[in-house]
Amino acid sequence: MGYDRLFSMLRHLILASLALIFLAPFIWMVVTSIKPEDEIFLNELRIIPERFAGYENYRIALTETPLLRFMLNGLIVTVAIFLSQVAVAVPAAYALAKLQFKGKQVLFIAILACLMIPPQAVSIPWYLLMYKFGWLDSYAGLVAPFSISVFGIFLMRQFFNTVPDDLISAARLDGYSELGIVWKIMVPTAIPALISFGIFSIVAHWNDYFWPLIVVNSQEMLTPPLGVVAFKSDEAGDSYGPLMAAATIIVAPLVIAYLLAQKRFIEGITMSGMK
Amino acid sequence: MTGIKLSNITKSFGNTEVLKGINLDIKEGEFITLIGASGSGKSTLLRIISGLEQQSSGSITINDQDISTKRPKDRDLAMVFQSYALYPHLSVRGNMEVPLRMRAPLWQRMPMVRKINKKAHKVLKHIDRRVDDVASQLHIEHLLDRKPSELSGGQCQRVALGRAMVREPVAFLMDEPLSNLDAKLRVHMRGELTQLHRDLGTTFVYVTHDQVEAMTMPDRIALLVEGELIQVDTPDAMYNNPKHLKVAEFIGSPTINILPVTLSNEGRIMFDEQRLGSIGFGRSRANDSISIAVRSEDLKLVSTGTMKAIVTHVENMGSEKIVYACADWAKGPLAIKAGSQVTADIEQGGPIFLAMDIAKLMFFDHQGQRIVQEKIMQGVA
Ligand SMILES: Nc1ncnc2c1ncn2[C@@H]1O[C@H](COP(=O)(O)OP(=O)(O)OP(=O)(O)O)[C@@H](O)[C@H]1O
Ligand SMILES: [Mg+2]
Repeated sequence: MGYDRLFSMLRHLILASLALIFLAPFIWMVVTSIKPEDEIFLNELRIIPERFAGYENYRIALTETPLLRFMLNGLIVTVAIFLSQVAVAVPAAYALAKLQFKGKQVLFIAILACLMIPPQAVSIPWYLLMYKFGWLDSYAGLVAPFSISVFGIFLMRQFFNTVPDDLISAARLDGYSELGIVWKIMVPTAIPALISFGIFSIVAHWNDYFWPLIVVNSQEMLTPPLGVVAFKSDEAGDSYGPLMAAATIIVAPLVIAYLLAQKRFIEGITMSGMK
Repeated sequence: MTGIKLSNITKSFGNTEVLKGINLDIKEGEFITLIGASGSGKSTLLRIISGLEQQSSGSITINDQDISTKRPKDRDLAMVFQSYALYPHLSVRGNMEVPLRMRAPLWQRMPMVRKINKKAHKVLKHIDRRVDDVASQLHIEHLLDRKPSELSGGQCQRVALGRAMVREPVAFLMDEPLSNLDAKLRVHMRGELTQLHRDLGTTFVYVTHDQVEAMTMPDRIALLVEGELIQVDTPDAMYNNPKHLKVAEFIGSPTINILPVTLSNEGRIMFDEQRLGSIGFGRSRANDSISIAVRSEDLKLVSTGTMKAIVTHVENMGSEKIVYACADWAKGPLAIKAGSQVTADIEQGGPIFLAMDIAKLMFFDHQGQRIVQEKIMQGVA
């Protein structure tokens, strides 16, 4: 009994300290965002600032650069990417999981192989393609390379594999078309998987730095991470307070969205939401 | 001809031939069970009838209309699955509405149209009423607003039945609908299904591998062995008058006793050099290997005799006991069904003596075909 108690305490202690290590930079960002300039670089570790400078830091962050515009760009791009990924991945995954056709196995192996290609490796061909299309420095250029997600296809296929074949047979007898089955039967049963894929996709593309850096030039097209960096070099110089305020603002939507969808997210990861 | 007619249906998956020329006439309103060992092709046949699977060759007609190439939804059949196959995201009412809704024109199914358009309103109202009717027939009115995940297995199966019934199809196809239920509920649902068949008067094609379901429910049984229909007959005929050794083996519990014997050069049955009764087959079958099949209830326990066996174990079924024994002359195990009094002093390992009612024996040649009674010469000296 005492041993169990001790073990459980030890376990929580370890988990808590690990959590603290991972959270530390994040906490430091938030703390710095409310500190005045002269309190940021001190010899001592000061969590609570003596003078609260949150208001002016956040005011500078929001007014000196079009931060809201950057966030709107981020929103448009991530939502467009997610929607097109779903529009492609769901029917493709259905075909791979539930339909019989020649070359299915080869196709699936090809998809698995694509999972292993790092995006950086194909960035130059993509850049040239976007150039030929005249899509540089536009939403289309930001969205197009990610409009098909092999990870999404793979994830949804794994999930659809667990849907019983009888359910699809029943739907066919009841008069659903194949597309009807995909969107009206498969998608509603796969909501947890779609939500977790959504979180992966949106977090990845909201935070993406590499590709936007390559295709975007003009300031109106900047996405949030680029915006923060532009902020550092252009306006703020070495003023870290406003910079951290801007960083806090751009991660806030993700954190809020995660907290709201937390339950579904964990369901999606464990895939146990289905009966 | 009304009813469902299958002619020469074959089906191959790659190189394996799963169905080898199925011919079957199912009369309108008939309850037919399709039985056979696992992997014999029962589900495949049912899926071909429903259109979910395309036959490799052969044709299907319903009421003289060729439906061989029609899509599943145009065949006017309804199917009930072992796994129920209810839509998990829809309520019970939603599940039961689907077959009717999907047959209404698309615009009528759009959200809100019901509020604006009189015709759509009427159609949907009619669907609602039909669902209510069927639900009350199956005693599931109180479940209409629940989700399938909130139902028990038996309730799920009722909903699945309801979903099949709302449309009043030409025939119901059922693939082991009761095998996921516990024993007691299965007995209960068995009775309900038979009753339902009587009330609806619709054709039922019912796949099962449960002996009791196969025997008690249908008008006729069709036995499928390795993709071939061996016999299609009433339960009575299947039990008492099997045309093939496999039918005799499959139907009945405990399994029928099979005694392999070799005929003498005069066509007589020999057990260890001893002749069995006065039966002979004539010289045309001299030295043939044949099988004698005898039901467990047609073997009698006697106080002494020439057929001695050793008891291996005894199963007590309450009103009767099944004695399992083995004997050299039987070349294998035997099962004897007997009343409790007769078996009172039988113990494991002890000897028993058996007698057979010769009139009840069935003979099968080495290919398993029944040797018809006329060919057996009684009283050959
Ligand atoms: N889609 C398929 N591809 C390849 N082989 C298949 C396919 N469907 C069925 N089979 C094969 O066809 C044979 C018959 O299968 P079927 O499902 O009809 O058997 P069943 O009689 O219903 O058996 P059970 O009682 O176990 O349900 C089996 O050997 C099975 O492996
Ligand atoms: Mg089956």
